[in-house]
Amino acid sequence: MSGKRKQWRSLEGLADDPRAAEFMQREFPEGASEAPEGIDRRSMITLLGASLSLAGFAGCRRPVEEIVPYVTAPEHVIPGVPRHYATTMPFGLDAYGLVVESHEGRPTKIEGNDLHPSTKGSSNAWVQASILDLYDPDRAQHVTHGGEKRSWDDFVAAWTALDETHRADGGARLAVLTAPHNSPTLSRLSQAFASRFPAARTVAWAPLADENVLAGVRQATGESLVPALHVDRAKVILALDSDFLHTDSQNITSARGFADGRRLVDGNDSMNRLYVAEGVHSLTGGNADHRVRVRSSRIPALVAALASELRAQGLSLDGAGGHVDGVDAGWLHAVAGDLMQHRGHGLIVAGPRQPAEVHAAVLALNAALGNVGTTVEYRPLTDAAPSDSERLATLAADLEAGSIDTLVIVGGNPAYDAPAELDLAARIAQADTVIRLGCDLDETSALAQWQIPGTHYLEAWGDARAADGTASVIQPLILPLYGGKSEVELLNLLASGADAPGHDAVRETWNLALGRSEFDKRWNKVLHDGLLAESAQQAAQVSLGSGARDALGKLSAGAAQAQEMELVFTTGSPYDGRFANNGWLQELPDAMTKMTWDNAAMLSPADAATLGVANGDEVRVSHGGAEIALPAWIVPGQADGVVAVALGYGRETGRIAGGTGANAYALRSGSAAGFVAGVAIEATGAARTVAQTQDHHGMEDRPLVRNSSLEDYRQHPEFAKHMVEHPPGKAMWEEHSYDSGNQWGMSIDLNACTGCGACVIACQSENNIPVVGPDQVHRGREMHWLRIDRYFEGEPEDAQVLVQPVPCMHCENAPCEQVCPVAATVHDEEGLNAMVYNRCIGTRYCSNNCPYKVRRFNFYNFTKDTPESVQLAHNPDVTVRSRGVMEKCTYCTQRIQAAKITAKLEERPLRDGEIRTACQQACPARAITFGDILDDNSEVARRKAEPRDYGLLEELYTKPRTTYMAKLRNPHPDLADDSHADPADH
Amino acid sequence: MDDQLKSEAQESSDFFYDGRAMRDPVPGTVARGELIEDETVATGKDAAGDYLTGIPIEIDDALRTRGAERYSIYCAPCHDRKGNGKGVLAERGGVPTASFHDEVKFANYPDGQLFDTITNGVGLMAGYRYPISTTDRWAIVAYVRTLQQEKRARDQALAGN
Repeated sequence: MSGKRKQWRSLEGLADDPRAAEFMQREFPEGASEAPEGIDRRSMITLLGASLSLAGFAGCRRPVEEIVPYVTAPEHVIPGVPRHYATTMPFGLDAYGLVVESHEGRPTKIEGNDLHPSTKGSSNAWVQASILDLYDPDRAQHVTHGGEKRSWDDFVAAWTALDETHRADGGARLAVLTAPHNSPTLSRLSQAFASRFPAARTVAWAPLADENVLAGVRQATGESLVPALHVDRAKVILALDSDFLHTDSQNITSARGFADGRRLVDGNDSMNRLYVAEGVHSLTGGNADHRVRVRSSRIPALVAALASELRAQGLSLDGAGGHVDGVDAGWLHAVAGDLMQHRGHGLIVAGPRQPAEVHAAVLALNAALGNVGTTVEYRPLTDAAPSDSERLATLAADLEAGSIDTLVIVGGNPAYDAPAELDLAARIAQADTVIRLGCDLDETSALAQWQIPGTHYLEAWGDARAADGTASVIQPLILPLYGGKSEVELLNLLASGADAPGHDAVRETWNLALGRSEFDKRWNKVLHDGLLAESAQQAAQVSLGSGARDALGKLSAGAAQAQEMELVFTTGSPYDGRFANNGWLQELPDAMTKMTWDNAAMLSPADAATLGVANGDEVRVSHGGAEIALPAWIVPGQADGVVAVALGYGRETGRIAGGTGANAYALRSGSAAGFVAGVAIEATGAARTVAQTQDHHGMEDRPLVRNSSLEDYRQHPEFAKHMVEHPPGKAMWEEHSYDSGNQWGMSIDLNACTGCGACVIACQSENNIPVVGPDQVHRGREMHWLRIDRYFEGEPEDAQVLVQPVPCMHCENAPCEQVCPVAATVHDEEGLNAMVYNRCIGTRYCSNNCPYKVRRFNFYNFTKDTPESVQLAHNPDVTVRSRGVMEKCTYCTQRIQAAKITAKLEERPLRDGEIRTACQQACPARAITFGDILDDNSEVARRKAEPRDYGLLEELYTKPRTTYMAKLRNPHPDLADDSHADPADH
Repeated sequence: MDDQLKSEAQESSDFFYDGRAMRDPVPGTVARGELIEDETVATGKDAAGDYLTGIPIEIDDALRTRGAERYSIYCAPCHDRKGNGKGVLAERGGVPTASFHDEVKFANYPDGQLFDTITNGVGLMAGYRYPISTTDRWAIVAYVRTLQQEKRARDQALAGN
């Protein structure tokens, strides 16, 4: 079965390229262990001598540390004991309910709010990393006018004058441009603004805002409804150019639902089945049971063909059908058959880059199949200002015509990410007065006369509705670090002319919702929980209009086959660019390419061969008179004729964002925001260095991700254990028994893990893991304690993907411990492989001897230059490591200790599930379980007793405490085993 | 790694204008587990602002024991272990300290007033709202009542002899 197939990490590795082999053979690539670049041994010794003598002056005295207590101690605050606050992270029309850890009034770690329907206690990489943005030293710090420092009061005075001018003509020459939001308070203030300035223009816009999805639903139903996926209820899922598990809206709940539908524990042996048709290779495609490569532009034809096929199989459906080239008829037949068989338990989902007609048609298909109401529900949008590209275009035209005097830009970064043809940066500059509220000093701030520092969501009052309508409150964790003003405060000033605290404005809104009697009591309950219970919208009854039928007709009409190269815009770590100045996200290896700090022109192997480019060769992508140059990257499994480029890179400002990658917005127009055909691509002949990690920390050619099919599992539940035959292990010394007390262990369910990377950022946030930069990543020195290995299986043209998170295995017979000359890494009595930083002298023998390659070495003092503000984000409970020290996953030992102390104070034993590691807590798929393996009733012990349980490289008799549950795929019987041999796109 | 680039409890920070790395919670926020379900329990006063005459939470043996324990940690140094106001600080430091058995004054405090005094302090006594949780403060009130009953019973027994 497929588990026996060769697993490979990179095309270089598959081709036995010496560069990949070097990463395999050597712990660090040539030169990585040498002294700093450009300095030979002799000058190094000279420098050492000099710094020693200098150190004699500077280092003879310890730094003076002062104790600075509270003058008036606040109630409940015990120094050293963290507290937790519920709050909400607004994200477009959605909102993530969170619980944030606060150390003496400083937020340090973000978790999901288990009471909140949008996160259910987990999170994603963006949520986890957003705390770093709070402490970003590049944030806007002063109110400025024309570059000169002013005060907020100066601005209020200036606005009061403008307010009078604009009220004279009803605000006809006033415009407000905001990011899309879904907030009761902002909505109330917008209405007040509209009544104060009836003629003023308000536009909401963002580059990634599901505009096509909402337009499609409106086309089909005639109403403004927003879809909510219930992936957990689906037995068959067809994803069309959609990355619903990773980057699309509601990805946390979708990933949870998908994993719940595949969780083969406690006797359950049924699984959902995921079909994916896409051009790029998304993480959702990587998780598919059957994936077919179809360019984005041919998805509409595929939908039409599916409609025909469904009708042929007996579905009554209005509208035309069609035919699609390049997709195997058998594949389509099997998908349609599966959907027909699971009516009411199937789900078709299209990606946001697909045009509105596709979404309308998909809604019609889901409705005809009876899926609407079970696996997908539609809810009315209340209090929302959705993104509207047409109004943005009108605004640009008005600005050009000179009919706008004052433009207020609240949030977003339109000068950077607006459609290229609008040339919005130049248009903005045409307004007499531009007022800008923004957290960062970005491309848009540069155009503004008045720049007002905005607030991060962790430092201001506000509110938001989740996608399902749940009203949630944004509770500040700290007062604004740089005296920023929130969107609520600015809009309140614009709408009422009065400068009032945001707290008052938000309370006023909620006063209406909660009632004035006993308001404080109810309000405090909302603050405590983070949401108003049972405030979700009722799902709407969907009635299809003629729009759905027309949409199907349009799709079949547009089925002509294009042969030219097509550019697809994808979403990477920086999202739309808002996280580009976030070092954690820049250094998070991309889920599929494992690239860091850069975007690339992603190509299929065949296209790369035609162009004559290899990984890292620079290519020039041009369209509509604009061009960008960026390195080529070959993605196995990508459709031919597609070049994919991630948005959000190529920012001009910010010490991290500035100059990182290429700005794909330059090629993106409003009418073709998802993908565009007819782009030219050529090699420039230059070569770029790409900091990527796909060959780092390799473990040789062994069955690492053990996997099989569901059918095989039903026949041989213990297949994973039998996959590697080895003689019984025997240690070279007397083994410790580890049979008393708490013995910690971890189980990772590879069938649930989607490979999204939330755990990596959660670990980085919890454990003070430094960011090292692209140059160091290129040398294999990234510091992540938890990495996600991505393997390919099969032919490069149509490879299947396997992912595997690898933390420290905490081996009972740990190879690292035996070679440490100073006993810096030892076992404790609870089975933790502990690292004693102060003993470590940096020989790196341990890392050399670790078969899993989970140890990380501080080649430099990576934290030395950490800005003062970012130091505040460090977890006080975890050591900040210095140069020359080895480090690795600790199973979040600080959390184990904290839980033990709590249990001891409460005079009770530790409860199962009380200790949750950072990775476990963040995981949206609930793939990671941690606990006491001696307690037979603990969840981790039950998971380890599952037949699919296996230890990574257990044949080495390391007795790892971290074990895996093998991955299964659920292929359709008619397509089994040769799905990846489907005819390619051409 | 002796002094690390992180802000531990009570450390200084150059980032903030007042040099404190410890920040005050934002006014009006409610942390997890600190929701005041019942205002009377938290303040010791009823809706009209009068002191409660009883203890508004249920006091069982476990809580009474805890009250005794908290009392010996936080109260006994001044008020002494029997509540006579002759603790080590009163005796050696000359700090005037109230006796809970002063029939004229303190013995007649309503429960709510005792609670309020622990919470907010009075005269030279500091408020203890910060180190002692709400429930524990009520437990201490219950224990002080026990001390007073014991004293009265002992006095009556002695008077009877």
